[in-house]
Amino acid sequence: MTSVSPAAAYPASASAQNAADIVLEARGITKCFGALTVLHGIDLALTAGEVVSIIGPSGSGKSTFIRCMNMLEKPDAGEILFRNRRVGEKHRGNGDLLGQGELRRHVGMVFQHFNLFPHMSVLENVIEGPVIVQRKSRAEAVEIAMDYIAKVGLAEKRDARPDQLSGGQKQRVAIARALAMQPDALLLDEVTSALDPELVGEVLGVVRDLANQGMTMVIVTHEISFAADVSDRVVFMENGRIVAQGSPETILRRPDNERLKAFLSRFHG
Amino acid sequence: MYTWSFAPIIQARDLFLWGAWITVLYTVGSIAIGLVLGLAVCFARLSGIGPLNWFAQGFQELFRCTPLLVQLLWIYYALPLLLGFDMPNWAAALLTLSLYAAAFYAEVFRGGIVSIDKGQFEAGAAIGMSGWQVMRRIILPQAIRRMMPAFINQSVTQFKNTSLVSVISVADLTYMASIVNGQTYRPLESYTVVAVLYFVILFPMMKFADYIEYRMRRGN
Repeated sequence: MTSVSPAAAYPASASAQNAADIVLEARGITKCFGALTVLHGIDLALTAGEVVSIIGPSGSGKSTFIRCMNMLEKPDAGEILFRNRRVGEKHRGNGDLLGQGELRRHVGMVFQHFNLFPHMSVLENVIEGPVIVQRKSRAEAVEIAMDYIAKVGLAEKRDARPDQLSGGQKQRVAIARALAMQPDALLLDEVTSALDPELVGEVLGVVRDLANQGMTMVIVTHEISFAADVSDRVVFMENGRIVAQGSPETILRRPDNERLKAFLSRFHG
Repeated sequence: MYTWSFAPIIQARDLFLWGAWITVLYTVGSIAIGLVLGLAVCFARLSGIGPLNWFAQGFQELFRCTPLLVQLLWIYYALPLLLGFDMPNWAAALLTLSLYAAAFYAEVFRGGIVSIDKGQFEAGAAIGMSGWQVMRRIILPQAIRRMMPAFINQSVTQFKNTSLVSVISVADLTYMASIVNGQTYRPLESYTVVAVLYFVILFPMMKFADYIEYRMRRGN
């Protein structure tokens, strides 16, 4: 499998990437919960159109890291940059610093437990961001929202309440809600982990379509074969560190790291 | 065998009606003020600002852990000695009832808000909402539904608690009962009528609270 995507070189450091193409970058992200350090200075740069999957055992810090990337977790050290602008501590920007609100307007997130707004219909969930945050007119927001709701295959459910949907449908609405902000990048945090096995496929199908359409994504997942399929780059994390990264081919099919081999062996046979 | 006679009571019906009106006024007034103060105390406690949180919590514990009757007596008879000026009894009554309501409402509001899943805050933040937008659009609509039964129960209690203001001679329904008793020497009729009046006002409110709670459980 010889990739021809622009990210084919898979440079380990951001400096080797074309700085102009970098959408989202983490530099030296360190995170502690009390005395426990869960992230030890993680670096990761995401170029436009790139799909990066993060794999690793439970407790390796994958979810904490992806949550740092849109500042839902505040890193104790290190910084997040969006299009080469550092993100600050405040909701609004301040001088050179980009506000967290601005970062999140451009970088969507989908959660393991969907977190749909239960007091709103499907359509209302999806237009909430465009109307309240982007201040679009309701008509325009509905048009955008229906486009994405249709894309995830739920047009006929537009007026349903979240509690009337299956897990897979909820997660597809959550994806449409993130897309309706027309983000530059999407962060997916174990989006199939809370689903019944028979519902995983419909959600992965939507994510695969996004990857094919060139959406820039970071995907934290336990679906190893899916990661191999859709990713330009796979990152293996363990104990709060990036242990190995590279093309799906090198990481998943020809791993040369003992701990990575040990981790992957659990998914074979 | 006791002979009931309601005739003297009926003659004094204007006193009862006036007393009932005063009771309603103190209830509505202290609920309104308590609501605003209670919201402020609730948000002070959720602010994450240490001193503000401690102050709000101290206020709550002070008013939740002392009897309302003692608070009323203290604010009417003791506080003026510290302030250096007298407070009319109606002001002391309204102030005490409002502070008492605020302390309990704040806890009702806080309980409703913190019961909302953390993921709801995060989902709002993740589409770029500010903290206030998340509160107004995502959290409060869900929390208000959830806190409604407790809020109505607390308000019903507040209605009954206003009876205590009679001890500082505010002419509420309970006070009027003692006046009528003094004039007619008919305690059985006087206090029975006053109890029935409280019941007639509160029973529908209580049923309403039950209905709201039933609807809420079914809704969820």
